Amino acid sequence: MSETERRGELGELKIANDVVGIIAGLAAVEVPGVAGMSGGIAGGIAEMLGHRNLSKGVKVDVGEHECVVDLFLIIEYGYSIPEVAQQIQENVKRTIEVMTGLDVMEVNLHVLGVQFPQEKKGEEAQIPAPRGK
Amino acid sequence: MILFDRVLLGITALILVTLAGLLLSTVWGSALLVDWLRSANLTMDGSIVALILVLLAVYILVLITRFERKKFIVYPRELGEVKISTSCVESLIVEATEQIPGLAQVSASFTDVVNPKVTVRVVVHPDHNLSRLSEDLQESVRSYVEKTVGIVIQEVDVFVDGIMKDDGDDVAKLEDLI
Repeated sequence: MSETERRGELGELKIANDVVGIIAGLAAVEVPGVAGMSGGIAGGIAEMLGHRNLSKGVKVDVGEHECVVDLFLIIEYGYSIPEVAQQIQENVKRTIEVMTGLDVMEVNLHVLGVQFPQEKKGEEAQIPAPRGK
Repeated sequence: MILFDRVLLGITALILVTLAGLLLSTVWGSALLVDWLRSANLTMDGSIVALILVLLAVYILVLITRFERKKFIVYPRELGEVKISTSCVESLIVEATEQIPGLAQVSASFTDVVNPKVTVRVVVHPDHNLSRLSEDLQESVRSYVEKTVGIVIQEVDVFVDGIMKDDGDDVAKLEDLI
């Protein structure tokens, strides 16, 4: 497992990349308007097998003192995506910086779908079929 | 999916059905497959069949990765870029048109993501002015996407595919009505 290492006066501090991913994922989903993270096909299968992945839908690239985060998200219907995106970027950056001390250079967002109110647990909203009234 | 994909997928399906048929016939006592496996030409024939199967398998893998590659609308922000999948915006467009009276069926698709262009195909209820309906639709789509996604759609092309008859699900194509 790759990790960030820092040497302090009393010893060294190592933070696993997965930990940064989990922090980013949790910081993202607590923003109102985020329906969840999208872990792709592999993530979905792993979840079906009972493996709860808290860093699902998060890709982190950690350097010595800085990191770049990519988030793959599902947004709730009815929210303004630019506003939610702004809040996610700020929240993720602030949380990672406060908790790990790493400088967050970029928080890139990939909005993969919209969750409509009638969809209870669908991970990703597909294009609705032509509807009849 | 282009015609080439359809043809190759059709061929793949045909080969799989043939193989299944041969296996089933062998199970039920036919010697066709066994004879072929014992024949003198097996080296040549078997290699060709194996090669075709491998090529089809590779093609299917390529097809899967091609379908997985989503199209995104990208806009840079101060803290990093925001990418929104076109399928996500398309589903929002369909939802946005729900309030417009006169529309029976709606589907939307992006034709250009750099200078965003959307094609909206609709089936309408009768007794509605199509020109006004189209204008309402274009205005709604443009303003809704601008508000919720933050991008300005340059062009909204509306195709009226048909008229929904009053007596239920029956859709009359425009060509039939003219």
